[in-house]
Amino acid sequence: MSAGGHERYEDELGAFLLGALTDEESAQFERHLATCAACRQEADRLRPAADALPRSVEPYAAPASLKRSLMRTVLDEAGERPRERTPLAERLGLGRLRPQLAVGLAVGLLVLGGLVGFGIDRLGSSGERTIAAQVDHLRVGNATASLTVQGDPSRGGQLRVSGLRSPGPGHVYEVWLQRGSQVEHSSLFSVTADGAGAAGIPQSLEGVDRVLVTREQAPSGAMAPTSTPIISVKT
Amino acid sequence: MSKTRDIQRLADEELMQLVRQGDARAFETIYDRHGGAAFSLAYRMVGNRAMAEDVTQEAFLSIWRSRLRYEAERGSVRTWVLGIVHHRTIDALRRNLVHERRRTSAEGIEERQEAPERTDVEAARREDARTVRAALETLPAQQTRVIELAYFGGFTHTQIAEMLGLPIGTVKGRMRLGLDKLHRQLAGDIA
Repeated sequence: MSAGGHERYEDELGAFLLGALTDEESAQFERHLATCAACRQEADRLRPAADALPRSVEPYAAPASLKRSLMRTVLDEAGERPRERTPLAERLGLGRLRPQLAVGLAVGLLVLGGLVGFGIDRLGSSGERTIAAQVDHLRVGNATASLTVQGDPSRGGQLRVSGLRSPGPGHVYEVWLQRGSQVEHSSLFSVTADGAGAAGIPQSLEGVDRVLVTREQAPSGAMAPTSTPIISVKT
Repeated sequence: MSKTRDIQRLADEELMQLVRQGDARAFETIYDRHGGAAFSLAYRMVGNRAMAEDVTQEAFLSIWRSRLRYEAERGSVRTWVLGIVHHRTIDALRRNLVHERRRTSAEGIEERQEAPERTDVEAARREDARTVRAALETLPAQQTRVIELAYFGGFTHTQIAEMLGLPIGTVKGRMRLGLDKLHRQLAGDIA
């Protein structure tokens, strides 16, 4: 292996441990690891740091539905229980209602959804809402965006975009929270080559009328929006 | 029932040997111990409850079906499980898949409890979480940013370089420096 080749793998060690290589790059790196004791030693030294990252995550109890679904499959495959049909009401997320009422409500919800247009796109069973955004297509082409608000809005949400053109050199997209006439900074984000991006909104969304996105100067954005929003979400 | 209690007393490594033999109850115990952490990681990465459930289920089913061999030399079972979840979630993020299936449960995601286990174990995990978060806070913001985008965002180093307007070499360097500093901080090598 040439020195230049080894240096490349040394440089990629951090990216490899964090999962930031493509599948092909990871496969190449693993082939190199099999032949390079120095890189193996360094990987073994730094791997615990990468392994520590999930331990920093806020803990949540997994939904009981997840275990039920998982164990239903596992027990069936282990031959310990015959496959059982999931009741219609349970599939519709209305498991606590009598089946006839559940079906009626499900149909009603589908009809209502068709009349709303943009607005609430999805209602999660835990109250999480995903809201489609208005996008200024004259300025940002065929981009789409949506805001997901936690069931408890005090816990913020996440804005996701796709097909959004790059803000350009020296610029960044900035997320704002509007309450009445007041606007506060939330976060900054950029996008990948294919226009995908996401911005976490850690602030409370209680009382927020709209979430806005403008294009501002990098690296730190602006104190207040300097142009009309390119994306607007009514919460 | 006594068999269930016996299984619940086994260490993770012993349970994984039983899982490889197709023992569903051993698998269930592994899930009970680590499913919460797995779901929490997936949710942190995708920010969407339904998608987090999907990737967590896929990860555990891959453990069950392929009888993936757990190797103790590579770390704890928990670390191994979380590694599988992390890899699956990155795959899902990069495929930009969002599974829209509704779930049956009405339980809220805001319930912050680990899987049922001894309170001293739970207390130790919470203390460990605080330690790791404190260590992360000692890193320069530039290093934390690329680590978060990579590990929790699922972006490749090339994508991160593009997003931040940085040379790829700079991004890779910050990743490695950040992990090095985090390692030394957690090992107590830094005052």
